[in-house]
Amino acid sequence: MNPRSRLSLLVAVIAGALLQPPAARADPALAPDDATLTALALALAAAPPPEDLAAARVGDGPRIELVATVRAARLVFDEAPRLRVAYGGAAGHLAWRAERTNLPARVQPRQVYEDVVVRVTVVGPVDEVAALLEDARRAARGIRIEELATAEVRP
Amino acid sequence: MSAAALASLAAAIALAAGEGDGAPQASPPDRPAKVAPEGSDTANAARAKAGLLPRKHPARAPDVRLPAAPDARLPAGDAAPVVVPAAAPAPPAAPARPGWLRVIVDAARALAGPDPTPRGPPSAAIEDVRARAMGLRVEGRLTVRVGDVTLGAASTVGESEAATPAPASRWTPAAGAAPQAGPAPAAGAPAESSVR
Repeated sequence: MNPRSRLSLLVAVIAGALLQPPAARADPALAPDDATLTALALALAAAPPPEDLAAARVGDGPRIELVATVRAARLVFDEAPRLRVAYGGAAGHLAWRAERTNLPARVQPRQVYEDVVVRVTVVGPVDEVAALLEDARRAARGIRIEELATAEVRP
Repeated sequence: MSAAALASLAAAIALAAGEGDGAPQASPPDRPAKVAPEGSDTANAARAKAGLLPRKHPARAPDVRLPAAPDARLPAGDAAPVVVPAAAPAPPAAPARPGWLRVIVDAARALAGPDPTPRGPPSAAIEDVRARAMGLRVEGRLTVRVGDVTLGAASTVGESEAATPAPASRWTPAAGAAPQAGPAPAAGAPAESSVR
């Protein structure tokens, strides 16, 4: 498949994904991709990153770059996020960078953080980014959305 | 037409005419009736016996029953028989559509084909995240590149505000979310579409 054909196919796929009617994507709870990106951002924000994004961007195969920005009026961790870093920082492998606002590198459980902004950039081979997103999708089950009025810390 | 068919036809006509509803019916004469002068007592008596004359005093009032009003607030006169249609079978649930992240990642995987490069374990794995968030807003942008070519990019904005009984969620394409293509920036340089 030549690059033009691949481009046409991917553009069609992306357009199809974006042109879904909102009702089809709406979820009575938290939208799945919202939850996935939130879990991804919160986990990566709490881990020492291999910041060599430049090295991760280059390589023979396709690369995916994901930029996610998560804003929360209030955020409470029941536990510190757990991320296992087995390998990173080498050329052609996964890398990420996290920028935090009003959130320390080491979060304290049950501490209320307000006006939090986490912006993460993840770059790497398709399979590695896909595996990380799959982890995030699984971990998203541990994230709950609550009303602002009930944001008090519970024992 | 056979006699049996005629009998069936007659029975059907009789039923259609109201036989069996309790209305008096004329019995078939056993023999040809004598012709009496029209209006004579004999003729009138015969017609009355056959039930062909209107009754001056019906034996009893017709049994008319109105259906019970389905709603006590409605006047009885407006009540009508309630016809409850058979419950239509529920339409089959539409299969859940994958989110945009999965769509694009799967497309990129399909385009990439099998990776000949042996790789070790994943660079990182998210094990657990347990948190509560209030007033959440999420933006995501995903870009796919092959070599020096940027195949496409997509982004969304999602807001998840907790509400009662269930939080609302909305996804809309962000400004400039249309798929883009073009040459990738030089290695190491920030990509215009993905680093803001």
